[in-house]
Amino acid sequence: MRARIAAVAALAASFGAGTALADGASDLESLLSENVTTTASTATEKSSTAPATSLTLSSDDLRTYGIRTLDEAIEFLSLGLVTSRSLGSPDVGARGVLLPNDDGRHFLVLVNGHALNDPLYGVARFDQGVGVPFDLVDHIEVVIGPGSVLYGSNAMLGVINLITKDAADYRGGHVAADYEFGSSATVSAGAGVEFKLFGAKSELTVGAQYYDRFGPDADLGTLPPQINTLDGRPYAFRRDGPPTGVWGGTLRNANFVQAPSAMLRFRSGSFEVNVLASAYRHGVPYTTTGTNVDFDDPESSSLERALRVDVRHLAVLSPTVTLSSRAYADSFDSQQRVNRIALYGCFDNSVAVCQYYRAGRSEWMGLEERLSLDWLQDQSLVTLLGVDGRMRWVAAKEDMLDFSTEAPIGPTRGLFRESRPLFSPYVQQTWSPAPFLDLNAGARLDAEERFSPVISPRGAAAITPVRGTVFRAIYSQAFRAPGWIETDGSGSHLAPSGGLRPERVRSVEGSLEQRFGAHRVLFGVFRTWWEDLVEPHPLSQAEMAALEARGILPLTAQTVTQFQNLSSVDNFGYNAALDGTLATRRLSYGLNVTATQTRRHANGTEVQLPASPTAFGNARIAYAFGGIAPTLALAASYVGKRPVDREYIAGYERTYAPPLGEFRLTVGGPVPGVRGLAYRLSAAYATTSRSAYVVGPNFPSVVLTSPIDRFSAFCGLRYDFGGAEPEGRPE
Amino acid sequence: MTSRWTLSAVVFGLLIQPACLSIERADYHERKVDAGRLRDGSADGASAASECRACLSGDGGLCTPEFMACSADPACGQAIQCALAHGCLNIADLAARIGCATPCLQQANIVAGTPALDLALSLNACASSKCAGTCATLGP
Repeated sequence: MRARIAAVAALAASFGAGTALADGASDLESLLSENVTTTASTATEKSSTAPATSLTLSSDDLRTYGIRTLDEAIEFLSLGLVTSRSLGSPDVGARGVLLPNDDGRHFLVLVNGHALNDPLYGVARFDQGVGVPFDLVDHIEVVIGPGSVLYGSNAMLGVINLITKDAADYRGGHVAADYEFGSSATVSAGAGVEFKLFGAKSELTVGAQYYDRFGPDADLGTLPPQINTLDGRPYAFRRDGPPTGVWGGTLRNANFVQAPSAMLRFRSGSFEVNVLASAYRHGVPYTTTGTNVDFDDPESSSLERALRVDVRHLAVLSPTVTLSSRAYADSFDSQQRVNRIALYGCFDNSVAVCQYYRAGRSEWMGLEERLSLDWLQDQSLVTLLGVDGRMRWVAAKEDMLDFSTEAPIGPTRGLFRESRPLFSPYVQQTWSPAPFLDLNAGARLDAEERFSPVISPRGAAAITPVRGTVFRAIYSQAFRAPGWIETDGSGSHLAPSGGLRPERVRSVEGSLEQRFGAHRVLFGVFRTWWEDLVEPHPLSQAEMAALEARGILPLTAQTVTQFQNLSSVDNFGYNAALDGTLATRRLSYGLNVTATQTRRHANGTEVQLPASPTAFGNARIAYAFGGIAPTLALAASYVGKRPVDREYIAGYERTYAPPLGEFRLTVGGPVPGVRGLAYRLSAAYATTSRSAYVVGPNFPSVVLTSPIDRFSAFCGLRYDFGGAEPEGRPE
Repeated sequence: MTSRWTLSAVVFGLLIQPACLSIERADYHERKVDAGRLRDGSADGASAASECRACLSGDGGLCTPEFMACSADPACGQAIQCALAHGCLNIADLAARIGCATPCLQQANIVAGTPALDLALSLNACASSKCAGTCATLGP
């Protein structure tokens, strides 16, 4: 938080022409409550005049409202974004476009500016799988809407940048633990230290976290009994269960997550090094559109691992010229083990249970040079020239194994190895020709061999006719290069794509922001067009037969999908926000509302986008009594009615998930009498227990959706030692 | 600048080393035929499959009319080709044969009440009777 205030102060000082310095209490309050962002244009600037709708979620807010993951922060605190949870990794959508089971492919997620999405799968996680110890996060910057102009692929829904704490804000040692009753436990530890190294001001922050989810038991309901019509016997859906013919029941074993992560950030002079290491193992408890698996098998799981290094240097070559250099390297791999009763799942009755083992590995390293030319040395006319060059290596395969011995029972399928470069120059020009006008225009070219080069332009204008009032208009484009698994992957259930085009999105938006002291009102409208969305298309019998005849699919292929540029989406809507502080900043509040109309077009049909609500929002209020008294916080979120995620599967009847309201009450503060020790208690309630994600095999007459835990509560303790005087913050 | 690139080189050197996860082709050897699974192309298996196929679909084959009728139906044709490819019709034990062929029928979306099932069962009955000497010969 101190960093934020300092940044605002620095910003105010640097804005000579564009921003009047605060000269009264109200102005100061207004200035202190002004969000700043660096992600939208790579320069520190006010969110209100940034070239994209941007918001900043502070660590204070995360702590106050009992937020422990990125998706929770989005759900309860953000404007324009919406989350959707199954028992798996959560999805996040923006402005009415939520792509179910997306695994974060349409958001670019950064940690201190370092992109996490990998080139093989393109995934980014929003829960503990994001791979960053959450206690290290200082604030989260969210850029809503297309952001490829500076960041390239994947930034279609937006860019999320997790900024970690400076050592000054994380001085000393910190240990914390929380326990969610019947569900999960988290432990974390970290430290921050400042020192001199070869005469240069230096600092080191480190942190590690381990998250373990072991529940809760979840009742999915059951599908009607299914009988094998040939032998008259019921099907078996559980590896070690009786052949009852009934799919479903209560999950007791496979609803788990284990997620260790660690991070190191080192700064010395103008150098900065970030190192992240993480793993994310989770169960695959039930069949979804993408995965067919025996029910509640604890041995069916996915594991993702990542190691990332980012080294950067900032050179101020003159008062006008600044050169930022960044070298980075990432290693990411994924392994999924999915068990099936062999007869049904692997077309093999020589073993009882077979296991699909899908493995993928991607590595990439690159160099980004960014030259900033501050022509008038007052930030009013700045040219940014950048080039990002990287090399990517990917490999993937699928094996079919005997579960009991792990010996292969079939040949490896879909093995491929590729290595290709990516070259991306970009340019951005910012210009503030008058105190009331901020202009921004830029474009980026991404060139790789799989596709024709893609250009992602953006133009924005912000007008501040009077202090506190900002009109803004933005046009932007973004794209997503399909992951290699989409273009080159194949397997027992996946046919080769046969060629894909990059997905593209165009967006226009306008907004009005008005400040009244420490209060802010924002209203914006938007319109977006999405083209060439890549989706797994379930092949028809005729399509499968054609591929079998050409030897592309084995005769044993059963349920097969193929990635295709299948659909387009257009949407429009508005969002509105009201937030501020009262009572000398002791009371804070916020309200965000978004309403959209989103249509998916494919094969000549038009439907509401599955799992995407047309209305959603959140509200929050907190009061800090100060001293040893607790801080009370109440946050709520709302997601309107939306179709279930299999809406577009042929023959599937239209089914809607009910509106979902969630409330979370959090109390936190210092433990009296124990210096440095703080607590946090939080309880949450959901108004419905059913999500928008269908579970189980396709069974059109009955729709089962994954459950939502209606009641949950956690308690946490945090101990800070060896650093600055504790501030009496809640845990 | 020297220290800058030295530091970068050290860090990158640590990462360039081969990743832990191996993406190699599995060491799979096709198995000997047993219970009618004829994937290895062994002499006995291949011979049995060939003789069975001749009885089912060859000129003058005892089950050729049933085979032709099945093949005329896209779903039944797909299922029977799949079952033949896996040697299901060579299995003597009925339950084992059904177990072997079930995924083929599932793949072809053949369920009770569909005409394709009647055609498939008719061919199966023929294979179990008229062609029993060449088809349903391999132990369960």
